[in-house]
Amino acid sequence: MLSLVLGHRAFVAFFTEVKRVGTATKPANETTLREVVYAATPLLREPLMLLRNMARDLIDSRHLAYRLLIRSLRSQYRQSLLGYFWVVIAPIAATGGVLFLSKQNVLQTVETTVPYGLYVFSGILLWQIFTDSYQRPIQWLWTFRSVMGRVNFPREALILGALCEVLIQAGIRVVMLCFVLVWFGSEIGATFLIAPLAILALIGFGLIVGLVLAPMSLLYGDVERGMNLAMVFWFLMTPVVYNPPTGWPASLLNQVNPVSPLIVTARELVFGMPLTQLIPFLVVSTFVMATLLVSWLLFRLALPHLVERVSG
Amino acid sequence: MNTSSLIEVRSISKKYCGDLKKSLWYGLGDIGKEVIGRIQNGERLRAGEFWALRNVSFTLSPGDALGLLGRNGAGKTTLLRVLSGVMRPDVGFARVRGEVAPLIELGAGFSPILTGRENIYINAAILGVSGKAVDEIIDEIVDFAEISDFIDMPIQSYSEGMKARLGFSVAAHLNPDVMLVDEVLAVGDLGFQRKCLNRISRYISQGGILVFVSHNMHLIQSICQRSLVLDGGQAVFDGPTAAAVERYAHLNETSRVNSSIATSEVTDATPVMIDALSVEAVDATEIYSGGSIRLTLMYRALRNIESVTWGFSLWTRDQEVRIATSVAKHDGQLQQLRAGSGLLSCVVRNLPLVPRTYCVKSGIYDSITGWPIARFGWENAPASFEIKGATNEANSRHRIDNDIVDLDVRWLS
Repeated sequence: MLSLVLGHRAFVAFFTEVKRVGTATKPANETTLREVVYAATPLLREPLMLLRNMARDLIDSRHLAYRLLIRSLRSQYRQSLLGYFWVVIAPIAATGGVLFLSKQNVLQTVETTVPYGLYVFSGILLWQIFTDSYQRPIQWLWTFRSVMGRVNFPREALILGALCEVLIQAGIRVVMLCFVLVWFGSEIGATFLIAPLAILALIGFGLIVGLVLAPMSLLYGDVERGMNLAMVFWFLMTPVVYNPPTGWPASLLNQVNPVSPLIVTARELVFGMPLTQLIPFLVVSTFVMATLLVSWLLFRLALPHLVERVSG
Repeated sequence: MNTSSLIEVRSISKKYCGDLKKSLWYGLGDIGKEVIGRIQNGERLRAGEFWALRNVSFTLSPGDALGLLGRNGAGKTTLLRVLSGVMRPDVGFARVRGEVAPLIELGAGFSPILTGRENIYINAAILGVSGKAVDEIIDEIVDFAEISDFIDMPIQSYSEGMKARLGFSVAAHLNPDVMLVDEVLAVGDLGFQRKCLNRISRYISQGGILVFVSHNMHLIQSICQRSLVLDGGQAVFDGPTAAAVERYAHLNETSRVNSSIATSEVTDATPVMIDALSVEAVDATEIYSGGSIRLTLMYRALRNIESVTWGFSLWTRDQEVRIATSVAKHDGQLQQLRAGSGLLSCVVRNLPLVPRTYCVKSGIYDSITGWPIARFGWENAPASFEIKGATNEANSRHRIDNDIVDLDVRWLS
C-alpha cells in the first residue's frame, strides 16, 4: 500500500536509518559519545541550542517514525478480514453514496458549476483530510503516552509518523477523487496538478491545530470533547457542501474561517475553476508556513511538562 | 566532571503533586513559564506538592553498577526517569554521556497484534537503534529470549514472561553505554534470571554503566558493588551493597514496628499474643560465632490453650533467607498455655553463623494441626541480634563473600 502511494524505494530512502548499535567495548572513544545535561533551566534560555536540538531530533526521528507508521498501519488493519482494503473503503462508500444520490437527482439543492454530487464529494474529502491532519497527532500522542513516560525517544517521531499517515490517507483520497472525476466525465486539467499544494496547505493548517491541541488534550479531556463539538460547527461554517456565501454578514463566516479559502481554492484547482479566494488562500498558506515552526516549538516546550504529569 | 565519568548527578530534587487537578493546573503554569523563558523556583513547594527526590548526588564511571534500594515510593523510578531524560529535575542537574537504554518497562511500544519479530524492530527503534543494526543481531535476540518457535506469532499469544524475556533481550543486545533497569527481571523464570545476570555481569565487565532497581536483595548483591538507599526521596546511604542492604532492612523494620502497634490486644479472635522475643548470649556479655544464645518469648493468653507447641526461625537481616527453623519437641512437657502472661525459652548452642546481624521470628502453634495461634516477627518487626567477630582475615572474607554460615572444616590435605 505504501509502495503504491509513494513508491517503496523513495519511502524507505526518506526514513534513512540514523543510529548505531553501541560498540562492544565501551567507551572506545569517549569524545564521540553524546553528552546531555538534564536541568530545570528553561529551554528558551538557549534558543540556538534549542533549534539545533529540534532539527537534530527531527532528523534522528525518521527511522523511528517509519517503524511507528508501519506499526500503526499494520495494527489497524491486520486484525480484520478486509485488511488494507479498509483504507479505501470509506472514500469508496462516500463516493458510492454521492453517486447514488446524484443519479436520483436528490443532490440538486445548490447551484454549482460542477455536478453537485461531485461538489459535495470533493468538499467532504477535503474536509476529512483537514480533520485527519489535526486528529492523528493527538491520537498518536495518546497511544504512546505511556512509552513517553519511560523512554526518552525523539517526540518528533510521533508527529512525523502521524503526518505520514495523514499524507498516505490524503493520497488515497486524491486517487479516489480522480476516479470520481472520470466517472462524472469531468476533465482533469492542468490545475489539478497544482491542487496537491493547496491540499498540503490544508494539511499544514490541520497539523498546526494538532500540534497546539495535542499536548493540551493530554492534560485535559475537555480539549478533545470541546474539539469534537467545535468541529460540528466548524464544518457547518465552512463551504464544504455549499458555495461560499457572498452577502454580508454570512460572508463574514467565510472571511474569518481560515479553512474556508484552503478548501475552496483546493476544490477550484481540482475542477479547473477560476480562483475566487486566491488572496485569502495565500495569506493563510503564508501563515501556515510561518506558524508551523512556532507550533512545533510550543509542542516541544510543553510536552515534557505534560509527560511527567500524565504518563503514569 | 571526571573525564571518565558517564553519569554525574548533582543535588537533584524532583517534586510531584498528589492532587491531580492541582497537578494539571501547575502543569499549565509551568508550560506558561517555559514559553516565556522564566526560571521557575524549583525549591518552593506549592500546595499539594511533595519531594519525590531530594538532594540526591552521585557519580558513575564505566564499569560501575549502582543498586537503588528503597521502599515503594522512595523515588527509585523517578531517579531512573530523570537519568533517562524523560523528566527534568526541579533542582540540580544530571549529566549523562553516552547512549542510554532505560528498561523501566520492558517492551516499550510493543503492539499485541504484531509478531515478535516486528516488535523487536519497533522496540529497538524506540531505544534508538536502526533496523539495519537489528538485522545483524536479531537471531541472537531471539535465541537469548528462547522464543524461536513463537517469534512469528502475534505477541498477544505470548505469556507475560515471554514478553518480558523478549523486551529484556532486545535491550540487552543493543549494548548501550548506560543501562537503567527497574525491577524488570522479576517476571522471568529462574533460568532466565540467571542468564540475564550473566549478560549484565558481562556488560559491566566490558565497561557499561548499570543503575539497577530491585527488591530482590540477592540480585542486587550479585550485580552491584555499590548501592544507594532512598527513603522518602532522600539518599540515606551510599556505599557497599552489603551495608546498604542492612540499612534497607533497618528501614523496613522501622516501618513494620510502626504498623504493628494497633494489633496488640488479646481478643476472642486472637486469644494469644506474643509481646516480645529477646535474644541474649549465654554465659557471656556478647554473642560470638560458635557461642550460645537464649531465646525468650513473652506471651499473653486470654484463656488456657490446649495442645500447643512453639518454635522459631532464624533469618538474614534482610529477611530474604531463612537460615534455620526449629520447633519444640515437648515430649509431653508443654501441652498447655495458661491464661495470663508467661515465658517460653530455649537455648541454641554452637551457633555456626558468621559475624553479622540476624533476625528471629517466632510462633506458637497448634501441635495437632500445625496452624499458628500467634506469631511474632512476621507481620511486625522481628527480633534481631548481632554476632560479634574479631577483625581478622577470615571474618573479612566472610563479609566480602556475603557468607552466612561458618563451617567447621577439617582440611585433610
